[in-house]
Amino acid sequence: MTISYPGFDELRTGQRLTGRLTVTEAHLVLASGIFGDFAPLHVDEEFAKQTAVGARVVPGALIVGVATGALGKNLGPNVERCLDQQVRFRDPVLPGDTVTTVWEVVEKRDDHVVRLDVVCTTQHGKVVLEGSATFVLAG
Amino acid sequence: MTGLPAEGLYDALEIGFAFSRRLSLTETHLLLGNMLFADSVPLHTDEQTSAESAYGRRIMPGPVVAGVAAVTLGMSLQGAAIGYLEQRESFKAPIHPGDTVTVTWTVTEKVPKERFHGGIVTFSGRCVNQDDVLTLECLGVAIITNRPPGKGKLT
Repeated sequence: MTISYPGFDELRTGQRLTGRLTVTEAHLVLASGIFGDFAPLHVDEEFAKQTAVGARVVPGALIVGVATGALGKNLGPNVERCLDQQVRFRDPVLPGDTVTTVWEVVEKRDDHVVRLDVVCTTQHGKVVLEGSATFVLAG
Repeated sequence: MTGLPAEGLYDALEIGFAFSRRLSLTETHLLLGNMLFADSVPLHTDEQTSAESAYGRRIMPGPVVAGVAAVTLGMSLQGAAIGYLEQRESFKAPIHPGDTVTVTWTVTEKVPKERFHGGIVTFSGRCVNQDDVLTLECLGVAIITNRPPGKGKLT
């Protein structure tokens, strides 16, 4: 089976591209390792219990990756380059949360550059990340 | 090490203060990054496709590089960075597995916030590879407290 990915020409302004991933304890530990992020809020349960959240939270850097991965899964080989990205962290993600990512095409330029907005929410409908990014796409 | 005190860190951060971290990004970072992000873009996973691209070989997922940059902030500030609010990145050149990146952050703005016993600090960041090629420019906004590590809770 050949998977078809939309390229620049097929994408429409307003089109949405989505992905969903359950972010687990394994993600938290492995992400802390590859980023070298051993902040107590991620790796010290006793510390985290005393915070307003009350539990360890997943590194924000991982959620940025999950959001970007959702776009990559939709566009596949048509992703040629990411030019820029900006994100705002709205709420923490906890191990076990299922993160739904929705990208929306907001602008198409003549030079194969596409600008998209992104929102990530949890299974409770809580917005955890908002942002935007600009990609160069093939097709 | 930044040479900053563990307590009173917000006050100690002066505009223009800079700190760095160097890290080699390997095949392991690429593989685990793709796995964790569930990313399947061939530029990260397919050497043959990548060889035919403008990059010539596989490149590191942007969020791995951006994440390493962001974490440099948190880990350099000794637990005084109690919230990371925003990050902006502009990707200038690719990072390949085996590259060694140096991330440097500079304090550009401080806004005191009594609620946090410190304030909101804006940092400007740059990431270069072992050949001093600029790969990433970024901006980070974090809540920095004056309270000692473990006491700067977001409540």
